[in-house]
Amino acid sequence: MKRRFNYTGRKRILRDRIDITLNKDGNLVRSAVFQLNLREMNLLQDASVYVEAYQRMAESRISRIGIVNEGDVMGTIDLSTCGYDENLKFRIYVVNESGEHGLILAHADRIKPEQDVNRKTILPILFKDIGQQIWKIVYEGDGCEPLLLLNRGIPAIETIAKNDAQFIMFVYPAVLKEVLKHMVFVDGIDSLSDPQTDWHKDWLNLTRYLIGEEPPNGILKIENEISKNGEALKWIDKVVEGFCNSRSEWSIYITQSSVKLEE
Amino acid sequence: MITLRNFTRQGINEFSNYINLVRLDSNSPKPDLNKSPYSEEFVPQVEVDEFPTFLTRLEMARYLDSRFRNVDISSENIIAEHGVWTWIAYLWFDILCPPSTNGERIVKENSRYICSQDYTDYYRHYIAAAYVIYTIHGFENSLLFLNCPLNVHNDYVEQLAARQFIISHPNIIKAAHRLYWDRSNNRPKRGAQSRNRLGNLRRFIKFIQQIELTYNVFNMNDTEIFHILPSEFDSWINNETG
Repeated sequence: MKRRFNYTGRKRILRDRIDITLNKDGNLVRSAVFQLNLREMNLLQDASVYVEAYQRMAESRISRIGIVNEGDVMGTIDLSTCGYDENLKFRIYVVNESGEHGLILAHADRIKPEQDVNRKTILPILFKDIGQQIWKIVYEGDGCEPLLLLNRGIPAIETIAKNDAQFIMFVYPAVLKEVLKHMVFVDGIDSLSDPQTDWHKDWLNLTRYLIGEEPPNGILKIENEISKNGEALKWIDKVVEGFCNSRSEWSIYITQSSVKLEE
Repeated sequence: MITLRNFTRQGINEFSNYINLVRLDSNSPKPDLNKSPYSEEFVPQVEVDEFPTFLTRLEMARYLDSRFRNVDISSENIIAEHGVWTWIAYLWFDILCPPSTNGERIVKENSRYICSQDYTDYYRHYIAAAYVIYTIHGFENSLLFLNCPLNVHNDYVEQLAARQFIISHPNIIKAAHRLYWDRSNNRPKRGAQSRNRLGNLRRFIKFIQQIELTYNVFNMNDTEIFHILPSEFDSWINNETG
């Protein structure tokens, strides 16, 4: 276990005291609303509360959102110069500004907005014009994570993607297979328990959930050589089968198909 | 002039293959990737010089900024367009990786030419990093990083730009500029990068990293940062004008 010494005297603001809502315009982020609960932290009442948004090498945006007062602090930070929320993180600090230099009394760093924390999406979906393809996977972001593109030219595609049994039983198993093949045969997996690529860890956990067993060592890359043995392919088929077996849309699809036949 | 293009994944792969070929044979022919499916025209249309004669990365960054501004593209709209940055490196590959008098090319690591999606490598890209530094810090405060030939990734970029919390705070960069830029000779001060000299660049970074745990350093201006610097930096401060 890592031990850390804290001689700075500053307090840590725990994540459950921080509520962030991003205001977006399509994919573009416009602002973030903060609600902080700093009660019972014994902070100086007139200490200032700052929020800093940072992203890649871009210039940080710092905003003073209020003072500690009774402990409930609410404020908004303008993020209109931010562009996308990809990799957007926040620092929060409470500063005693009564002296010559602002002294940090409490602090939180590397804070991501709520949706990233509570509901982690391992396959984000983007509706985009992709010609005459129905779906496509691209790999982008910091760790080249998979992103599912669905053709926005298809009427009501958002609803279809969520509710249409035929679409779900046709498309998602193929998507799952492609992502797993990419992970094993293109990227290569370096560890089953703690892979260096974050999204590999999430997807390996998904496979454990779907088939209830540990992935085999045969899917690992050995001495930087991508696995070429058949064990990986068998495992991928098994995961896809597990996914299909877990879907309740199967019976709906069968019923719908039967009705169509009778018609 | 040529119209700016955005590399597709296939274009990036082909460019990467070309870079690998040049490592083996400096005279490898450059493939034509200015067409589908390797690249697509960037929208809105931007015209860029195909054979520029920049002397420094700063000139290059200023040129690109003006080209983008002409069509109302601000840095937040272009910063994450990895395909565009990689395509520009492809376009200007001969000046980023020039052949020496005997025709040999010294090819650096791929991240210098292929813009990484990983922000921990992004700053290594010759074009994207120069543009981002220039647009955040302006001409004067970018001198430490960018007043060098196009294919030089100097220690200031490596040490300062590699640290997100430093490069994204103009006040800290302004303080570093005032400490280490020799205005009279238009070059970094001698000894700033020496590990043995008191108050050198690495010591400045260490100090900022230490002090930001306790003080609200990001809200201090450069003069306020000077006030809290320990005495080992005195000679640099006293010699501010170079």
